[in-house]
Amino acid sequence: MTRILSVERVAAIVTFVTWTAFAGEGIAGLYGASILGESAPLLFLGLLTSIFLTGSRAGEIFRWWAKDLDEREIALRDRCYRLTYLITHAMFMLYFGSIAVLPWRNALVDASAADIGSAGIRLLFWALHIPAVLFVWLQPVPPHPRQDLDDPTPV
Amino acid sequence: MAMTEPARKPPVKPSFPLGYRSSWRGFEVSRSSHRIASVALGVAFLIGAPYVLSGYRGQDVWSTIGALLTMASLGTALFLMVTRFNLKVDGEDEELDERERAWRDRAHWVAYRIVAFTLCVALFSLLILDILIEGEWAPAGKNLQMGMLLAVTAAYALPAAILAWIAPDLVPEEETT
Repeated sequence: MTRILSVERVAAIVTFVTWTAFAGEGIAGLYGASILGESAPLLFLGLLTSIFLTGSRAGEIFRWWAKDLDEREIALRDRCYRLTYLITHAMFMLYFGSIAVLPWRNALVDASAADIGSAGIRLLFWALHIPAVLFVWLQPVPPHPRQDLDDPTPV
Repeated sequence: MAMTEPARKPPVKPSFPLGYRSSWRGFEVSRSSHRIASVALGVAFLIGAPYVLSGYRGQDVWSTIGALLTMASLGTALFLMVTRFNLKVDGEDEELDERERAWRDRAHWVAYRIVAFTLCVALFSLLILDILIEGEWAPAGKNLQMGMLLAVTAAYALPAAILAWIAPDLVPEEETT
């Protein structure tokens, strides 16, 4: 259990949940609704966990200019970005779809330009964090230190 | 002494797309054709999308050009979606070999960076405009819908376009037999 739930993975979960709630609040705002009421704590928590993830090894793939990745990490990074692209494309279709139906539905005509822009930026924040979250969860778990005790080979 | 004929290698077929989609491989366009179509899509999108978002509906020659470019970008994107490159970029893991998976994933990595950068620039410039001119920036109604449709279509066709730039040419089937 401790091997699966490392600090980095917990941070990845918190980051994902936080930015998902933040983006969801923005989408709900398009319809004049509010799920949580206040977004500032989410933004604060999301930024904190993002800073932590950026400083970790997973943060290497945040940095698009990183050059010290080995072959395995590059393959995993590309895989994470592919999954992210598919997820993000679907989410932005939902976002664009929400906007596209706005003028056709009387109940939604109150959405302002600020609401639309805010929802888009929240969704973008969410999308930018997905690769690092996936990277943390898809990378192989390192062997437990106690596992070495079973290895008869002398160090 | 009779020479023994060397054993012939079995024919190597292009390995994509395999599996359930092997009955149709998509339009066999060359890589250069795909590249030209991708550039055409990009140019048409860059000129046509602002026209659509601005909602300009004049009767002059520029309106006609803008409308034609918009339709051209949509048509090109639809064409790119049914080529072999797009089928490859949509291929599942079991349908592709290791190198093809690497190209596919790399194409998505490049595409993600392009789309994320474009969205960052677009959304934050709209935010700044919103602050400066107090919410008068947003295009509305059908202009916005058409612009969004163009953006989503272009984003969908982008990985295949990138794959046409980074993947090497395949050996035609008749040369390998």
